[in-house]
Amino acid sequence: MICLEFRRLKLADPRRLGEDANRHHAACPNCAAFSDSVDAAERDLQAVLAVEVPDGVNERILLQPRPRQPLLGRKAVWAALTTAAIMVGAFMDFAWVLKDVPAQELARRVIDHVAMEPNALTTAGTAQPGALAASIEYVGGTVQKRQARVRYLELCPVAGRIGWHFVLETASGPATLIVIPDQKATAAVLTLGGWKALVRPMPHGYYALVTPASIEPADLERNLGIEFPELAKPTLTLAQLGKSLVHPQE
Amino acid sequence: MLAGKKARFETAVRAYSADLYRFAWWMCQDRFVAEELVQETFTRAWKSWDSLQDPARLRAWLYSILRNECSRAFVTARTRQTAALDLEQDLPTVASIEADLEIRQIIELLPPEYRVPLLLQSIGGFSCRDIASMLAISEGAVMTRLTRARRALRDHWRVQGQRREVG
Repeated sequence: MICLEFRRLKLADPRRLGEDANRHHAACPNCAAFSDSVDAAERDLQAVLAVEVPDGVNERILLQPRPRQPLLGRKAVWAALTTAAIMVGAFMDFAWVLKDVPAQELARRVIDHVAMEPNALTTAGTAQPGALAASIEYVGGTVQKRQARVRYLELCPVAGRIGWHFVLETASGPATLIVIPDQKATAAVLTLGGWKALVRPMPHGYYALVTPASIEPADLERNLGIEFPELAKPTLTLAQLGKSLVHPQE
Repeated sequence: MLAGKKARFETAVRAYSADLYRFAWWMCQDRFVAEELVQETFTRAWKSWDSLQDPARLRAWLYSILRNECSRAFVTARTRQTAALDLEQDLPTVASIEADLEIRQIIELLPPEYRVPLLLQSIGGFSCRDIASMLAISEGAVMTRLTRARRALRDHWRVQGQRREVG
């Protein structure tokens, strides 16, 4: 084995060297020294990776309510759902049978989230250019003006879902944009406790703008140039929808 | 039957939740999101528990579920790049290292194509062959990515060492 190969193997997996590599290690002082330095670096890496685990994680996992076993087999359940869907689908858009989150409740919860994270409004973090536009596009909108100044970006759980939490620099001070994919919502405006919130449903989720009460979220929305299309109707035919239910995607 | 399943599930939670949490944390750098991801991982694992045919694959299976949860939570959204991405360009550069970044920030700057294999190996304890199977890429590709990730870290340590000597 040549030194180059040994070093490649050592960097690829410091703790698993084969017999050939071990023989080279024993025979080559330079590679042995290299190996020692990699091992030292690996110990430092392990120490850094071992972040503290919050207390009680196991208990919170074990205390989560577990889904009950279905009475019917999986295929029978989906077949029953498909039949019901086809029967009612002639009279309504099937996608909207899914339960909406109550509008005012959602607006209240995003205000609570912003109010509970005051550090976000004063922290300057890093955000990749285009992150705001990308998140809006992800839920089905577009951003025409891409010069919004993002001073903070973090993934946050909001109202039971994980999404993006942006803090934007505006002429009137910091404002918050929360983008939540894959959560149905209804449009809402709410003033509560010195804050104003605007919830805007999108084809694939929603976004919410939260501002101090002196600022109108709708003005900020216009300034950002967010375009939200009319919520798309389902593009599948009923027969196709039925088939898609019989073969659900994980 | 259910009692046995519950007991095995609890054993798995106690054995693997800590390292799964650490993996999730390094993917999102947020302790609340990381815990949510681990919670969801075990919820999905419970639902599909009976589909796990080989108990020896439990650990790899849990990490695969977690990686899918990370994808759903968009913690790797920035990495949805084409296969033709020049990965060299995305490694932390010497300039960024000379900006005195901590090793933690170096890891955070690693693109997921490098970070995921490194975490699977260093936290999960998986071999290159296991990782290749989990990521559906060749073992050679895994080894290349791990080598490059560790070289980026070694460059950082070398610069830090030189600074200490000068200082």
